[in-house]
Amino acid sequence: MEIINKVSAQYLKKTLPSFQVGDVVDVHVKIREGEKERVQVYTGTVIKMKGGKGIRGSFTVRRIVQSEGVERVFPFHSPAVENVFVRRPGRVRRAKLYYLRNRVGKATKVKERRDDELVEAGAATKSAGVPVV
Amino acid sequence: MAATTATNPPQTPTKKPRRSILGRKVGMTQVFSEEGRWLPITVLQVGPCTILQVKTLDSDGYSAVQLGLDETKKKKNRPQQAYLEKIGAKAHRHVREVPFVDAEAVLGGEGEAPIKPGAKIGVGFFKDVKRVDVRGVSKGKGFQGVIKRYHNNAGPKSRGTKNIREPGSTGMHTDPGRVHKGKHMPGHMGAAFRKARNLDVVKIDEADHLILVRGSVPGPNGGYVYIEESLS
Repeated sequence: MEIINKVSAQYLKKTLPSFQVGDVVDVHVKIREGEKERVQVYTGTVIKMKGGKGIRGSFTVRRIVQSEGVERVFPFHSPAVENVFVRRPGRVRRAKLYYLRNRVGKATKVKERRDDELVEAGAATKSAGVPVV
Repeated sequence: MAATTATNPPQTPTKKPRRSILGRKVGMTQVFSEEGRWLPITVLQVGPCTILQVKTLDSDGYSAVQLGLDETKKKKNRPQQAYLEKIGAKAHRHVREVPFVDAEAVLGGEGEAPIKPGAKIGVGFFKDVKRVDVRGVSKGKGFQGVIKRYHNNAGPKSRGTKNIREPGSTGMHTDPGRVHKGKHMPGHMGAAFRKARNLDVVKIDEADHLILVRGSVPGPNGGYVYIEESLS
């Protein structure tokens, strides 16, 4: 097990961007087009975090493209995920927002906003929107 | 170890000898590819193996190298112990013969140990290998029925059927009057040598003597494996 951890540790990022389920985020994804490499921004709502923060951890971002729901799964530690910025922090009461899949139109968009006062009451440490690389 | 008799013609190698080495399966995990995708990998601890004996065409009628893995404090029997002391090696838990490959030619004489008894050989030997075959003893499954063992289909589970996991018919009637050889029947499964072929080498870690290969490998974690260069 130690050896396994040592092997996977080489592929882990030092720091991870901080965001939560329910946040609307910009995911900066590295894309290779032929020889060139560029960054594409994928914006959507984080509906799931899975597998912890280790090598297997991932998060799912849902967005609506041309009135079709699209979900992309990003591994936290993938080198293709360059950075994640929180556009709009969301306040949710669930760990997995699968209920969004059954909603259309405004019901999906209007995610409950997290009141800053509410956050401070709980944990002031959550400095959303600050990218940590 | 027997000397060649006159009637035994010296074998000429028909195939190009493949680089082979002994190791252990450490376990599986995931790493990332350059594109940022997950790769399922198996970590193999490779050597370092001690060369215990070099067999040549002249002395044994074929060329091979005997490798030892996992030094142990246990002593072998007298003659073997005496031999080990002569070459200055310890007893090893796992000893196996592999085809002879000129390591110096492969490594370009980079100060690596040449092929001689007592010398060590490690992952560096596999430096530029792209794909490997990995052989190991698969996990024992015990006495298993025909569905798990040969992927036969199971019978219907309801409506009064009684052949839910039965092997079914074993053959014809008076002609041929016997069961064909190789008929799939229940029996012992697993705990046999199996080989996983053409596994991509993801990474070679010389400092820790590790090879990361893509995909799974037969056997339990910690099991001994035999790693050889793939044919393709």
